[in-house]
Amino acid sequence: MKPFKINLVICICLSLFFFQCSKKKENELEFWTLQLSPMFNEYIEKKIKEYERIHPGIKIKWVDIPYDAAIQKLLSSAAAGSPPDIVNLSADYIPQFAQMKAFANPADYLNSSEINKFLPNALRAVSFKNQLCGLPWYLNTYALIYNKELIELAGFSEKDLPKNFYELANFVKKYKDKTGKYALAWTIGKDSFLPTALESEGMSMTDSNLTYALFNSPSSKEFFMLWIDLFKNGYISSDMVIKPASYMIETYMSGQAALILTGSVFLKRIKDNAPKIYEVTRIAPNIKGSTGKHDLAAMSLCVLNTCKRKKEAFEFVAFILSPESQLEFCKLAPVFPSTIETLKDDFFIKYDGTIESYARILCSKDLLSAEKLLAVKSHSRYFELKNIFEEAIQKACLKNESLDIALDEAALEWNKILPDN
Amino acid sequence: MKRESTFLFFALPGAIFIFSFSILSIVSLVVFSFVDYNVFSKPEFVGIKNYINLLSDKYFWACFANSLFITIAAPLLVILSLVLALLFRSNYSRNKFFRAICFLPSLTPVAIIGIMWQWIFSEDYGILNYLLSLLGISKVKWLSSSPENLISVMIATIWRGAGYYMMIFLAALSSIPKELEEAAQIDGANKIQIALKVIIPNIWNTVVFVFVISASSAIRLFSEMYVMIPGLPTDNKSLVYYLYTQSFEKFKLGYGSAIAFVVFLISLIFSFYNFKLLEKKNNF
Repeated sequence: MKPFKINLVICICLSLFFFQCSKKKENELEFWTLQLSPMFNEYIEKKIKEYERIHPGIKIKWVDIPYDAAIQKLLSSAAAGSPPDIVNLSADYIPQFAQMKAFANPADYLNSSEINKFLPNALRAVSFKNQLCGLPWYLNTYALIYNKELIELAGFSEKDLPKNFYELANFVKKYKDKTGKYALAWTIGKDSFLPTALESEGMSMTDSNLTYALFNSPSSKEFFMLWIDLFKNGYISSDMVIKPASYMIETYMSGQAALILTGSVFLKRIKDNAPKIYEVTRIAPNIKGSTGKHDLAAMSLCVLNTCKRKKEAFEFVAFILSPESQLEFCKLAPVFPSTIETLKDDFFIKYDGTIESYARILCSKDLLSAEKLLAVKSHSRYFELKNIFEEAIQKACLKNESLDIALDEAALEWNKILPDN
Repeated sequence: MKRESTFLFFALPGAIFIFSFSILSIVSLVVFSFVDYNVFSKPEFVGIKNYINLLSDKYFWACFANSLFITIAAPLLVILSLVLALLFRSNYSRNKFFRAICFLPSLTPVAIIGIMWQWIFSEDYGILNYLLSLLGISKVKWLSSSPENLISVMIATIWRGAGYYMMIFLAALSSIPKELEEAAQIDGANKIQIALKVIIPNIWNTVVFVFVISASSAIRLFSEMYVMIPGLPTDNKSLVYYLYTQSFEKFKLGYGSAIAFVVFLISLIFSFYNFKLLEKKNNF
């Protein structure tokens, strides 16, 4: 055979190979998870094998994607016409995609007894305009994680730990005055926790119908001013204004902060990455405002409307989210289940002497009363609104702009966007 | 004839690649800049609305100004890499070692460089502010204030690029006949005069090339800023960072395409400027 013909044959073979690789098979369901590989490969692969054994006609193709790239990857795959069938998404992103009618409603494919297995607050977290967009997977709620050694070095005892946001502000001030160091790793600019704290204190970011902003009311301004003043007087690090929430845990792990308000899920990370800090780490109940309300973080499994085998996809979702599967997963990962039955297991009730176990008991109790606190998270343009608010706080902190003006301007922008839902 | 067709056949994959990922992308970019599109919905033709919106978008102009400011890095980068190339041009083993050291940052992933500089510039715990405090200089807000944060990003960019451009200059310097420098030396020229009057005119095309490439990279700066200061307020961002925010955080792909087309035009202007400068030099 002449070289030309050999080359031609090679090229055709390669093209066919790549074409075949990129083509989704008829009986295949593509399942995307968020950053579970390689830590949970064994669990996910085992679950897929179990499911495929029960449903011989179906093949599951598992793809794990990095958390930060999830939205971009989902968008680009949709643009390329090859979106996944089942996707693991943070509940915060659901409205954005639900507005685009991207998700199938589980209620159309699963019977009510299967849906009623889930915690009602978790189901609400994965709904958009009272329609389910997916099913809740693992959940998290917050706790106060603190460095006992640093607290004691500063002359405080565990009794002095703050219980509400005003006590927290006071503690931050006293701690820095005594030690010259920052007490708290808690973002107030980018990925700001101030809106959640505000709602917990009984004030609202918007009206209940999401038609206009309320965060520029005098009482809200007063609450925000408390934190802006703390920043301006050097009690909060500038990193907490410009860096995202993921940076908080790094600050705590490096011993630069004594307190962190975050999910107990991070205990494992502290244990793995900063064992010395872990040894002196303790857990206290989450800081709550005067209403006692606190936030729920939910991960969901959604089936995309583009999926051609929705019934089978939901069957797989129900299998992964079954109480037994969730209990198995919670024993591997420091997360909380979304099914009522799983939460009743001894694993979430009995104390075994470890701080993980204490955190588990504390947070699982809290889980039942936790809610998606910010109503505005149900807005399809939530991230745009979030950004506007956070930039107003950044302007007040970094650019010497008056908080009054910055919040009023942000509220005007919100009022233009809010009706578009 | 058969031989030619074999060559064409081998060139075909490359041609298809360039066509798909360069030409087709630019064409689709222009098309998308005239539509309102968010991936899940059908694209809706809006004419030049995206471009009109750009004109009245205060954030676009702020980011545009930031990107222009960052291009100050380009001449600094040219000067620094040229100085490094002149310092390490002779083939002593000591110079080979320093060349390797200078080139190392350009081989390091941007994410690592970003995190490293983020720590260096950290306002409370960074080594730079610590060193400045030893000199009695008060804390500089390297990452949270503007234009300090732009300067921080520029420093990281220059640090990363200098070694790479130094290598380009070294290649150009090796083509200068030694006799020219020797003649200048005999005529009594000192090292600076030789560099300015003999070396630079002989590698002028490379100087212009490096300037244009680095200026165009500065205009398109994104990764360093994204890693170093992920929570920047919008009006502190670079143009490409703004493009990213609009396209992939707000899903305004039509508007993002319009910004991308403007960035493309600016890069095109820089390339055109390159040709003009080269033409001017060739006419000497």
